[in-house]
Amino acid sequence: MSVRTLAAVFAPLFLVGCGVAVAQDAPRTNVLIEIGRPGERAIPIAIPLPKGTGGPNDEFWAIVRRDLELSGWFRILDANASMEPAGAGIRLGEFDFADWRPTGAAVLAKTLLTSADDKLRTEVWIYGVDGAEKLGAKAFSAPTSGVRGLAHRAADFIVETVTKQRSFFDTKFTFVGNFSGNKEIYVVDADGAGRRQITKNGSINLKPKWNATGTAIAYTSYVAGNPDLYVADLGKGQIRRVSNRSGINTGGSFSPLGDILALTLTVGGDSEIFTIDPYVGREIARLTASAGIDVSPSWSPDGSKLAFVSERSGSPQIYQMNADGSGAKRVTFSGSQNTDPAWSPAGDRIAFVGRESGHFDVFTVRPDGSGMDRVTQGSGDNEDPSWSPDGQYIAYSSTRDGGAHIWISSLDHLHQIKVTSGGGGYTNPSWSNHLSW
Amino acid sequence: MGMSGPSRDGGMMADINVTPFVDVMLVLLIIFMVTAPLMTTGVALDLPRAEAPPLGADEDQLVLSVTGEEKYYLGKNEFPLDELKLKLSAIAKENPDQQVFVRADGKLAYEKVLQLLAVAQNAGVAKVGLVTQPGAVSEGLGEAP
Repeated sequence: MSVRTLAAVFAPLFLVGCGVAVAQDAPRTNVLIEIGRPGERAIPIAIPLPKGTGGPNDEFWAIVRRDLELSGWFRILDANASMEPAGAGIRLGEFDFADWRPTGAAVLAKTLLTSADDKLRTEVWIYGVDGAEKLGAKAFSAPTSGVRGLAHRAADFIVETVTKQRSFFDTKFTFVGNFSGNKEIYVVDADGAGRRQITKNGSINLKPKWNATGTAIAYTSYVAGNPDLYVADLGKGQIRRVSNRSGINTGGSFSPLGDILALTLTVGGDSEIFTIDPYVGREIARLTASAGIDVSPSWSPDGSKLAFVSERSGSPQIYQMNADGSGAKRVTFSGSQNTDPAWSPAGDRIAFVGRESGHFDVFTVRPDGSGMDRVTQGSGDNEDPSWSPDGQYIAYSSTRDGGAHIWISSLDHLHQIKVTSGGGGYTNPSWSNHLSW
Repeated sequence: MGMSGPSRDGGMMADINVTPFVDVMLVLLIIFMVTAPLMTTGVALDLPRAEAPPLGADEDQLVLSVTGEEKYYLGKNEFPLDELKLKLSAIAKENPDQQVFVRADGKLAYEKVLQLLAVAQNAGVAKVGLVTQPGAVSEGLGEAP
């Protein structure tokens, strides 16, 4: 099911009938770029090296191309696939679309990058090649050190202009990184670059989760010996302990408004789900009271419900309940072990991890238990699903490449791509909301 | 073989060595003839004349031209041969169905034309057309851009 964003434009057709067939240099009759969902149909796009001098053109270009590749919307053409002379410009009329048609490009994104007065400035001009028309143009500027942000904005503008969808290039992942022999909390940009360490305590730190505004991360740490819940306030640069009750204090998950933390605590040797306030850790409510574990709460986008894992039926399965703990309903019925639910931003699906023939894979299901859909299959262990802010992608950690890395998948599973690079050690990804550029 | 000695009836075998021609014919999957009046490119060439019916051509045509002075053009833009090879193979990779029309100056040695066809073939182009002027000698082509 595809959305056609560019309506067919019918231009006059001139036919000349005389002995020899003559093809007129008339405007194209059909201007149409097919847009589906990321991964469904990759749009061939040509992105020549930015024009202009004095700026970090190669770095800018690489970041834009990488972003577009990650998005799954595009097939980026070989940089040599062009018939354009070196002197061609980026604005309409400064180059010839005929030099691009034979490449098969549907979209041409031309950029300019200049550096002046301690500022980088870029212009992005986007064209439909078949229709020989401008789809959009915009200029951005940033401090000299801000080439990454500038490139992300340029790439976002390309995605938005062509697909009418917002990109995720202004988001970050928080995750557990094991690079130093210790499991510490890190943050990394959505393209896998710009890794930053949040905890440095040499202990074990687990299951980081963003709040909705991307200003704080809740996680569990053994730094004081017991699995206690902490919140790292990125704005203030502070880490505070919010729950160190006896037993486990795990699975901290911010409500959509950020005013409540749902988490798992131990009661009489059994794990149950509670809500607490995220500042001093005062208990708000106990939500579960059943034999067997109740863990991993995940809020619905309107904050009215929670998905969680319960063993009350004998095996770990996904359940949902109202935010006050009432009306618990079982969601998954197939498989012997379903864990780590993550409610989608649109509220229409719950992603979770299912164990099947010794491997973990990511699935999604509607909150009423219907429409189970498999996201990963037959490729290592795939765990800890987390949705992109617009719900078009699911991030998860996967060992399909050997080491554990953060991967993202489009909803139709056709586009699956590794975000992080290097030797691995990336687990428990949590995807942030849109952040400021 | 042909030149190894007198044949039974006493005459010489006058075989033409067709191997190079067969080679070229094999590597080109499709060769067809097109006429030139609708070319929008402006590289001035004196094309070979041939009586062949015109084939339809669309606006996405990729024209590879070589002048009598062995200057190479993609469309109407001149490129050094090495760069042209790079570009042609990238385009063939990205758009495998793309036809390439070869326009070679009529004064150019046949060998040079074959080399140009080989360039296209090596670049991975599956469809190559040779461009000629229709019918008898007509007035010259337009000026170069």
